Amino acid sequence: MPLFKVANTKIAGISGAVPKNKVSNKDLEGLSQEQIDLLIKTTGIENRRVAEESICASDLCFVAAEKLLEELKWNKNEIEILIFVTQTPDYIMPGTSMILQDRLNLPKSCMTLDINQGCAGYVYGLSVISNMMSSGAIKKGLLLVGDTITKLIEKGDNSIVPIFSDAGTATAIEFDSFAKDMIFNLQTDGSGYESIIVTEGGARNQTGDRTKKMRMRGHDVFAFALKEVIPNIESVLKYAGKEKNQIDYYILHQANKLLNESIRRKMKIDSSKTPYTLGKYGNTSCATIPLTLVSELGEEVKSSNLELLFSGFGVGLSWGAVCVNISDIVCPKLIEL
Amino acid sequence: MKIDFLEFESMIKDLFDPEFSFDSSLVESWSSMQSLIVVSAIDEHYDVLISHQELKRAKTIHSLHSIVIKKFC
Repeated sequence: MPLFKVANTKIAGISGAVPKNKVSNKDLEGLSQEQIDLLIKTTGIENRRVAEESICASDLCFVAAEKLLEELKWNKNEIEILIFVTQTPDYIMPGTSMILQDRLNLPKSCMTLDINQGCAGYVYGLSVISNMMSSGAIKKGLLLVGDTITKLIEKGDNSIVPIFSDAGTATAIEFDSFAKDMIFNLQTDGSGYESIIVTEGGARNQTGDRTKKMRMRGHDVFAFALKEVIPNIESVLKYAGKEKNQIDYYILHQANKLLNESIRRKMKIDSSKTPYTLGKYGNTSCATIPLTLVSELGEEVKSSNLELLFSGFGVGLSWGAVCVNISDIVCPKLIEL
Repeated sequence: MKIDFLEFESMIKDLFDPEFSFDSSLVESWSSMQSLIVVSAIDEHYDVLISHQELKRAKTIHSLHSIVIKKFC
């Protein structure tokens, strides 16, 4: 079921939070000035946010959710589903969504679910929560999506360190029988699971070296995205019956500028339709799509009716796109924690 | 469409500012970042995707050009 539509649910609001701690790629150690210049020019990433040791993805999502619920003026007792998408949970067990249900003072009638997804995680999470709510049994829900991915990165690994950054987001979903359908196209190629991997710490390598961190085969991931993302987006547009120019904004996962610009140019999308946060916040894993919306379109989405396309791609290998309509949503200013 | 070697070589040279240290003829000397820039440009210009293995096999720009022609046809 790679292509499908979900009826009766809409996005009511989106918020985001980033760590206060700002790090600049200009200060990278172990690289020449020329290498740093090329890196910043190619990736588009100049600054990143790195969470202090005591701050987890759940903390960033928690403050984003509290602010969003306050501005929405939602009664917390009406929230009956919370989904947390992350690859940096608080613990191996229990799931962090349960902890967040308690921290947010949500009722015991609220079901919770953790989803282990990375760069495609926002699109996947949105597909799950909207499907769960589509029947009308659940009227209000929270999708929390975030990572403190820098905790999985070896200090000094200049193949990965300059790319990744931390953020947490919250998206409020509401049942609405008049909502326009969300159109999804979700795909997977598990044969590429080793392309981005943390091998230790799970059940497979219990006796391994737990100090070993994330490894990424950059070329393989780059080639995968060049090959798969455009057909995925074109399929979802076709299924939705939309022309490229009917989409107001294409919010792509903020992987790196070289890749994203290549996708944009090949698709002949005007640069004004693909907002970027790479320069300010780097690649924040599953959080890049909602973070970019809050950061770059935060004012516009409060009083506009927009046709958006979200496209996420990365670890798994996993990728997906969704066509979604948003209208006058609540969007608090980005929070710094 | 024919892929002329001189045009191919010039396309790759133009990807980098003259002040960057970059020997366009010697593929094996390229950094991973330079390689990705070239792979992206080849994909955009010729709709040909070069894998990591193919790039490693192509030690010179002549052999990279041959790989692109082969995949292009």
